[in-house]
Amino acid sequence: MSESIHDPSTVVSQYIACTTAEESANSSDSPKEYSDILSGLVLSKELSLLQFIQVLGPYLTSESELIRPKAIQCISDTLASLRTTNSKILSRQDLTVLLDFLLTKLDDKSSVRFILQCLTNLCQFEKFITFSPLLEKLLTTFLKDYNPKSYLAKVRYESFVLLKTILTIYEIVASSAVFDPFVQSFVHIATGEKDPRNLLISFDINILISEKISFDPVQHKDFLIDLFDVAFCYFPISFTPPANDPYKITANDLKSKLRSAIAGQSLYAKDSIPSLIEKLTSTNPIVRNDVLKTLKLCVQNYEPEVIEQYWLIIWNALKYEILHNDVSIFQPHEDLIVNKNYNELVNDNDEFKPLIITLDIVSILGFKLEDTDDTIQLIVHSVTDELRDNLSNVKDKVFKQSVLLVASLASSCNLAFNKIMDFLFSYEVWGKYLGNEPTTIEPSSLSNSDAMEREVTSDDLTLTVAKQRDLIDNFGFILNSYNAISSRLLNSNKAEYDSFVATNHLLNYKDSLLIFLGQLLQSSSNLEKTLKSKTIQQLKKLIQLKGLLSEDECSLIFGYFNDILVETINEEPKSWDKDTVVQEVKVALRSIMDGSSSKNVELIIQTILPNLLGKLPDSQEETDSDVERILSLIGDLCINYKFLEILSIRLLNKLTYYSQSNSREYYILTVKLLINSIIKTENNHQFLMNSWYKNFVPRFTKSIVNIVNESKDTVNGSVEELIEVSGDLLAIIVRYIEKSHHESILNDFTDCFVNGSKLNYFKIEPPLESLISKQSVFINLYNKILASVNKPAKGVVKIGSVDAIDFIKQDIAFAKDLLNGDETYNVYIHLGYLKNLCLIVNKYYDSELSYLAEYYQLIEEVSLSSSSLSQGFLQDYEIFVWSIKGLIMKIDPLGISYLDKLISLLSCSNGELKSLISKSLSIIMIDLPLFTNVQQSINHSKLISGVQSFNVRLLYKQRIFEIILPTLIEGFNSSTLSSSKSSYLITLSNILQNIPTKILKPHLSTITPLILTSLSIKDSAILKSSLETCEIIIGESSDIIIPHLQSLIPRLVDIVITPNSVNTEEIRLLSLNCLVSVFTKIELKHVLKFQKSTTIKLVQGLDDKRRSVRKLCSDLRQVLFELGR
Amino acid sequence: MDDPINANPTIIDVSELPTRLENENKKGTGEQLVAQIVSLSLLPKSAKVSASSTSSQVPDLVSDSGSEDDEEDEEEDPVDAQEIFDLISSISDPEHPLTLAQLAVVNLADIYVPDHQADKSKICEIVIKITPTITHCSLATLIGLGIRVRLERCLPPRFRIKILIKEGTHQSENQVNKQLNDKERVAAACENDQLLTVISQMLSSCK
Amino acid sequence: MVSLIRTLDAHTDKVWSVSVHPTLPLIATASTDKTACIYGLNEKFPLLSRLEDAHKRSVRSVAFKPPLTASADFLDLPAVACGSFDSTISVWGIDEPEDEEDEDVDDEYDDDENTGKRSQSDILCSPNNQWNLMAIIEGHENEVKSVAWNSHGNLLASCSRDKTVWIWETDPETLEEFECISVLNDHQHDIKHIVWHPTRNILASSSYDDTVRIYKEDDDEWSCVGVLNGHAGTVWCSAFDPTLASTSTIRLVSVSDDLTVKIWKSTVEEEESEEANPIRSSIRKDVEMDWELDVELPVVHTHPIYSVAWSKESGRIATVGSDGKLVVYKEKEDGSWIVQYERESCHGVFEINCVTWAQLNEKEVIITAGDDGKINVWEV
Repeated sequence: MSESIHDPSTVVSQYIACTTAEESANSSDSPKEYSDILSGLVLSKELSLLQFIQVLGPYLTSESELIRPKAIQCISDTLASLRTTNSKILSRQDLTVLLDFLLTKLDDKSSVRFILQCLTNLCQFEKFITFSPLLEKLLTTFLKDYNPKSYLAKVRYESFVLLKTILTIYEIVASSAVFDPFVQSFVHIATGEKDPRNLLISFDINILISEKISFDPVQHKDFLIDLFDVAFCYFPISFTPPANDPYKITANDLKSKLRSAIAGQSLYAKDSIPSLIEKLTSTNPIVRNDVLKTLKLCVQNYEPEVIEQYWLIIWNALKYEILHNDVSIFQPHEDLIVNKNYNELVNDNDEFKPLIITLDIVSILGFKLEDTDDTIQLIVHSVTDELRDNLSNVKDKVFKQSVLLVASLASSCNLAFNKIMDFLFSYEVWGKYLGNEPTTIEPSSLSNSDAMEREVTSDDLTLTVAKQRDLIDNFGFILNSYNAISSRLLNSNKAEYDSFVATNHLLNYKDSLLIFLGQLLQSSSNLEKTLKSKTIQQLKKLIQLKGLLSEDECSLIFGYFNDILVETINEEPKSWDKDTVVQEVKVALRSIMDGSSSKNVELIIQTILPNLLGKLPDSQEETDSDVERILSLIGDLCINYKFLEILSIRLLNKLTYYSQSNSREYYILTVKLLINSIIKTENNHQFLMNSWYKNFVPRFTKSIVNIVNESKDTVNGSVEELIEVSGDLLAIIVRYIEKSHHESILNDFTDCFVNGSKLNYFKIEPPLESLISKQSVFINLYNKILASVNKPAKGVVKIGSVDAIDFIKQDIAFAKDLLNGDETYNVYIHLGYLKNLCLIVNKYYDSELSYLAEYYQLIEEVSLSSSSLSQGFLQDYEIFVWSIKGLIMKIDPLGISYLDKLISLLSCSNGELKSLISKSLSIIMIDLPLFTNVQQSINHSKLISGVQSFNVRLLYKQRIFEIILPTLIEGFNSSTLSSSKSSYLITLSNILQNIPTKILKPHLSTITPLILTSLSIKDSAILKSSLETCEIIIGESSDIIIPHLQSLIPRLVDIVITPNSVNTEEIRLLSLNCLVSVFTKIELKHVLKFQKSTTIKLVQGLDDKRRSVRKLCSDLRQVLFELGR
Repeated sequence: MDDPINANPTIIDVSELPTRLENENKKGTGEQLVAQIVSLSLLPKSAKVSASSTSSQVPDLVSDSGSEDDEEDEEEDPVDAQEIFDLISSISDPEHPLTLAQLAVVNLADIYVPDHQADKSKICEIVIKITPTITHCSLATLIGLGIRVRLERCLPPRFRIKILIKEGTHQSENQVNKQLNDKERVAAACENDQLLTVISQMLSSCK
Repeated sequence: MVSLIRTLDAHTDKVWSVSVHPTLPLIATASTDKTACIYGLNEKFPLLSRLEDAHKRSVRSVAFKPPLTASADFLDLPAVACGSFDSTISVWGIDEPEDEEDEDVDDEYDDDENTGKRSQSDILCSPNNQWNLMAIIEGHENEVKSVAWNSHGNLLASCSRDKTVWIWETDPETLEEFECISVLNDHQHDIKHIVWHPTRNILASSSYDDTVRIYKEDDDEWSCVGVLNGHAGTVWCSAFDPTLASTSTIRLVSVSDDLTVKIWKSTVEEEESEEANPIRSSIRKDVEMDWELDVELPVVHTHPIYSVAWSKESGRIATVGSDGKLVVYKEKEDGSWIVQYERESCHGVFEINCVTWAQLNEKEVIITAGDDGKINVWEV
């Protein structure tokens, strides 16, 4: 602020001016500026308060409804800035004068808003606070002269602010003189308030009052009633925010504030609880939920004594809720009765939610009174007495309801739990079913006497299977209460937890429970599968309950499980894997092995794994064993690395057998199982596999070599598959080995396979012939390792002891001389070396690849001639393509430039070369597992082994695609020959087949025209990719396709109903898929006009030769029939 | 239906129903991979073993519509009882949230399809016998109608569909049979909107 | 030999019924696609008009009003009645054509052999004639299955799933209003088809209750005068023997779900005898006609027979049905019937719903209507 001396009157007039201006239009300078100046003057004593008022005089007395308020506002603003800088500045005298002045103004309707602001500011001055008569005067006059009814919401708001401010800064004691006027004033302004913003603050004050002021229930009876009423009269509050609410108040804000207002004051209880319970009769779930939530809050917040007083009526109300409703949502196989975060899971207009909250309250009720033992005793006693009859008879129609109630109560606290256990397992309640002797009733057990009178008739004991199911299910809820308590204590209070685990009364009954369940499991005939499943669910739960079962007891249960598996496998050889009970066991074991204590995993490994493995044959000669299903069962169980490790060792033995007995199928199956199990387990929880390199890899590798050598001579030897899967297994293991080991690993393999040295790490006798001295199928196995080992530091050009360049030379040499003999086998080897070439170029070779130039030379020459391609040329071309693939994967500029050149050759005149180039694009783009860094199925961004096995630049495909797409489009459009047009299309389609949708998306609109053209090309390969792309386009951006529907739909239908060598089954299916998306994904109004004609034309498709086509065709027609219905 | 006519029917677990759906040929991942790899060879010799077509000369931009000429001899999957069953088993019962197969209203054994029907120019009759959940089930007709509509939508016109109540499983077997197989009645029923709504409800669960 | 001479792609869905005008070269068809069509019956088979937007559901049957017998100077305009599943009947006709039409005739007609002054028939069958909806008749509770005009065109009969036959009276020249003069509810079920005797006011109805019923008027009281029991399944259709139209013997052929074709016989005493018989009035009952099964034709069809037609020219009987077969029967002198022709899949694999005889330039042809939406014309 400038130092210049200000003339107060001018400043004031400026203030008035700009505030008025502000009203009308926006003005540059803010009124605050001037009020600050004024307060500055007062602070610097240049201006006394009196003078200040005098200066304002004319305005204060002005006739204008506009001016007067400004004057007051000016005072208010000035006061505000005064007190913030120095709240001592005003003398008691000043304050008194001001107060009197302002209070007289309370009747000036136009200014009241600012009067209230003034008062709010005023009462915060120190001298005001210390001199109580002022406040008293303020309140009394306010109460007398201020009448909220006659003002707008924003004015009324100020009055709330005033009271809230007072409440926050003053100690208002019940006895003090200000007490009455204050409370009265609040009730005065709060009554009949409707504005949401004001209600929020009103509830706030209500809460604040409950916090700060201690009432006397008797003396302040009326006040309490009033205070309660000004809040509760709004309950249940419903509010839909106006379109442009400046304060952004939501219905929830109001609801929860109101709730805490009601639950804020224990002394409200005698009014709140009955009124709430009365409102519970509403049928609208939203209301009922609101009521219950509020009730819940009350139970949580009110003093325990109060709850003690009211528990009975609350209980009666809640009990009613449960007993008279369908409680099917509560599922016995879940771990808790009331899911912790049900509020998020279930929304408020769900009619089941009240039930959930109700049970929640029941347990909170108990929890609240935890420390008042005798009350708990009392509650449990009367509750159990009340429900005794329902609970003692499974056949009772509210059996489940009653169990839920006691179970919830039991989960509230230790004492309640024990009492209820004693009650439930006492002879005349459940004991009789469990075959307990009446003596097991503890003397302490409640209402012992009438238990004796009530003799148990035998037919009570004989339960139908259905009833047994119910009983088992309901055990579940009791176990849930155990779970609730134990897990709560475990997180809160270890000591209490230990004592609970040690002393809880469920311990007294677990034996009989176990025996009972065990018997059901063994005795109940196979027909009662559901009963068995339910039993298994609860046994599983028992195992998982913290600290309940001993190790022996657990292994006993696992014994049961094991028996079930073994028996079913023997008794239902056809369908055992579909058997529901087996499924249930599987689920149980999985969830136990996941997470829970390693102890249990050990037990499972001991009790169950051996028997399953026992079911596996030692060689293919052993017939009638269903290896596949057993393996898949084992696979399903395996999600824990301990289990996996044991499994791998055990299976290793099998593998050795299989390799010796040349049982190829089984060998492959087993290897696949291991791969999947590893992936699954790693996904579940990553772990390093270093130890495997010692324990597993050597013998495994040996077995591969063994079985491959065995198979090679045999005719139907699918050696290729053997090598692929085994290689994958090795690869994935390597990827999970600490990367520091990788170099030596690579050495070991190179040593063995490339150098064929005698004393190799894998003890392979006799040593293998080096795969660079003679073409060998093992190149493919070796490639897997080469691919998966961590990529070398820059500049490393040696693989083990071998020079990269030598390798390259060899690869090229072998690629040029073809073996003859079995087709697939040799092609496989041939490609093995090409891939090796690609790998080495990508990983180990950085310097210029001189030979590429020569090869490109050849290609160019051929492109000029129209002669057909020689065998030799094709080989050279392959070498060229695989080399640049290696380069392109690391976005090496050289590679890219060559690729560009290739594409440009598509316009050449040599037809054969063109199609050769097109096809080679799929080589460059294809994702062989070999060339991908981490198994897609493993969803970790980072491997813990830190392995980064490949020089694959992220998104290299995107780069490449975006580089060559324009060339292709351009070429397509410019070329006149239909033949060359289509060679562009084939190229494009070969690329599309190998790139992910998300790369494709942004270019869809560019590609669409080509796709539509290519739909009329007589070539399955093109059609395939065109249709695939077409479906993507329809799904991703239908608007592009809509203009073309007229031609597209008939074309697609045509493909479907014209089967021939081009429109193969696969093509027809793809075409149908496109049609399905057309009619399901595109807006109705665009497709409706094609409905009838398409439906009729497709009738032909219903008689297709292939069943799959017929099926999809009728599915599509079904869609069409329902279209727009 | 407010109060179901048969409140608690016996239910077959879905997993125990015979079906051909989704258990179609699943080739070993290994084999596929090998095929894929081998297909990458550019050498003509490997054309035989390659998976995707290696058309050595570029095809022409000609529409093939209606060109039946080079009719590829794919082998024929004849329509059989299983196929019919798969079409109708997942129709849901009008009063239970269950499928007709689960309720054993339709059974594979009660579907008769003649063996020689490959000739697409010949008419061929398919007979389906349905077993109502209870002998006085007033919904039998509706169920039968649902089945007929489903099949008329899914089967080519050369098939004549005969839907019968399984002998002795319904009080008014004959009336129902007569109605279900009266072409005109069915046609008229299919133009009745309420009825159609119920039926599309039933068919909505079809797999 | 039966040979296909023409296929008309008349409709996009089932064709239920086809009717031929007794004197003019006109065909009318009715279909599930909710429309009916009028075609010219000459080697061009021109589509003259499509009758649409009158019915909300399938048009199940169509019938031409027969020409007025006493057709003097008055120009007798063709008209059709359509019965629909929407439970209504629509009546259509053309306005009287002005003579100017002669000039603006399509060349299609000019290069016809008959140049110069065009015959009345050509005028009435010209595509320039607008076919207009003249009346919608309501009354039946649900689907109307069949409609039929009597020989004078003053009575229109209709039948429905509501188990009733209604007889409507109208002025055959103006077709202004249709007044229901009788509702016959003798059948226990759904009535599939009705047909009038070619000359007499005798009406036959075929039903889902496996019977055929015969109705006659007796001093303006219509009543059922005969029941033909004997079929073991729905009777889909029946036809009177047109060759005996003027004699006192009456024959009726009926076809059924039970795969049989039956011919029934009865006689009517001639009107003269009425006067000669004073007590007649006292004995109402003898309006009862007694019918007996005359002969059963050889069974050829393997699926339900939907339609039968009896030729006025050759006295032959044609039947069609679900099995897609067209069968032509011929009567031998000894009164026994033989299968003259049997032709399979006349509408491909589709069912055939209706058959009728017609004249195509002095040659006798058969016209069939199938589920494939097509109309096939056969030379026999």
